[in-house]
Amino acid sequence: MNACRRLRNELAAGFEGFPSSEDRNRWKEHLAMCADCRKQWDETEVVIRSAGVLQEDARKAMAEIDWDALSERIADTALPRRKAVPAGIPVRIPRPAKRILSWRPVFAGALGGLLIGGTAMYFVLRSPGVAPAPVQGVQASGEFIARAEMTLAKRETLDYLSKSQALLLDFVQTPPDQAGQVLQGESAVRRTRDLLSKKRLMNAHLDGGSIAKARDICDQIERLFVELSQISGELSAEEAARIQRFVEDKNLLLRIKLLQRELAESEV
Amino acid sequence: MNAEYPQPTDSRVSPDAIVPVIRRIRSGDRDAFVTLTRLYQQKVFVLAYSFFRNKEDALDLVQDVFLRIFEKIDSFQEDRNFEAWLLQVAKNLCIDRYRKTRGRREMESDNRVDELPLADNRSPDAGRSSDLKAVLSQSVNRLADRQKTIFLMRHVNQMGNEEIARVLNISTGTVKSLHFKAIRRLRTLMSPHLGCQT
Repeated sequence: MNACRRLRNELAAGFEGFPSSEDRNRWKEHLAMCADCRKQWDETEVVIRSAGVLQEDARKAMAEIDWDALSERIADTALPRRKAVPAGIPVRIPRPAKRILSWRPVFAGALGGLLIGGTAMYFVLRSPGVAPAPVQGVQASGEFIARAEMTLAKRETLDYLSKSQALLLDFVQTPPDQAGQVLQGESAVRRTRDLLSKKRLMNAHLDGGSIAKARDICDQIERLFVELSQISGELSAEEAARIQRFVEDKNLLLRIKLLQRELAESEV
Repeated sequence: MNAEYPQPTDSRVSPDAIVPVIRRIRSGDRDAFVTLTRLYQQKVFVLAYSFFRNKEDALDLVQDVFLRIFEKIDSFQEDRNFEAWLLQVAKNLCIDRYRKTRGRREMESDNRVDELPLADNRSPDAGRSSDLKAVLSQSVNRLADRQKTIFLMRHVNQMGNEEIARVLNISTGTVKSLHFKAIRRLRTLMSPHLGCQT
């Protein structure tokens, strides 16, 4: 079976002419005893022989053609086309020049690169600020660092205000008899704790720049959360109503909102 | 006809002999162009005829090929083989035209391969040959473009593998491999009709 497969790959080679008489004899021996390969060989032979029919057909068609007249007709059609070209004589480019021109895109690319690179180098070397100084780590001006710090602090403050606002809204909008459950639920306790931690980290930044105006309200929110976190046992309806009143009296939510807008619009 | 030019009876024209003809054509010599056409028109016709199986289409294509050659003669590099270049142009135009007219030819075709009569031992030889021609012709049309071109160049144009490789700009090994695949595919397509031929 393997012999068949190997030999069949040589089938086409066989029709091209075997490289050696040994190969031919090997094939002949195999064909004599393998009916399957013999069938394939015979079929291939018929396919190739029948191609001769196509050739014969073409020859018959050729016999009916007046070849001299055809070539004259083609020349009659072709020549006026060239004469119609206004330039008359085609511009002949010498072959070496043609070769060079065929490289035009490459040359253009290389030339463009050289020009751009050269111009860039000229400006870089001309600039006085490029004195090679050993750069150690990242260097930035003090002003830049201060601005970056203020931006981060502002973002932190806004985030703190936004989270506090959400927690207070949940609390204020709940009836006093159910407010205890809202405020002392697992999620609310975790949120309160997170906000208190956040505030402690923010304290260092709340004294400078445009953030300073947030100091007062952030402190009030912190005191409220501290008070809430210190309530032991269940929060009574009266206690909840008192805290809700405190939030309303101090206009905490409104002030948070105003402060948020002001901070968002202010530039650091 | 200029006696210094190669004659149409020359089966193989050497590249050196064709260069002066090309130079004369470039300078607008009509006789030189007629000579060039006479030298190669039959070769182009056989290739075109094997593609289209139609004399008129093949003649149109011969005309198109030589007009194209005339237009592009200035771009021909003299160190190249002119015949390979010419046949490359012919092959490309054949494939383009074949693709454009495929729909029409399929509609005009009377029978599909599988509808043609199967091989029959009792058929007279003439009828059998005609059927086989039709089967082969339609089977060849079902080959992939490159396989078809190589098969026709080998068996109808009687071109050698090296020559085909030069025209198609591929290696001789690829020519052999595609030729083998073409034959294998033809054998498969024609197998119901090959029974009595062996």
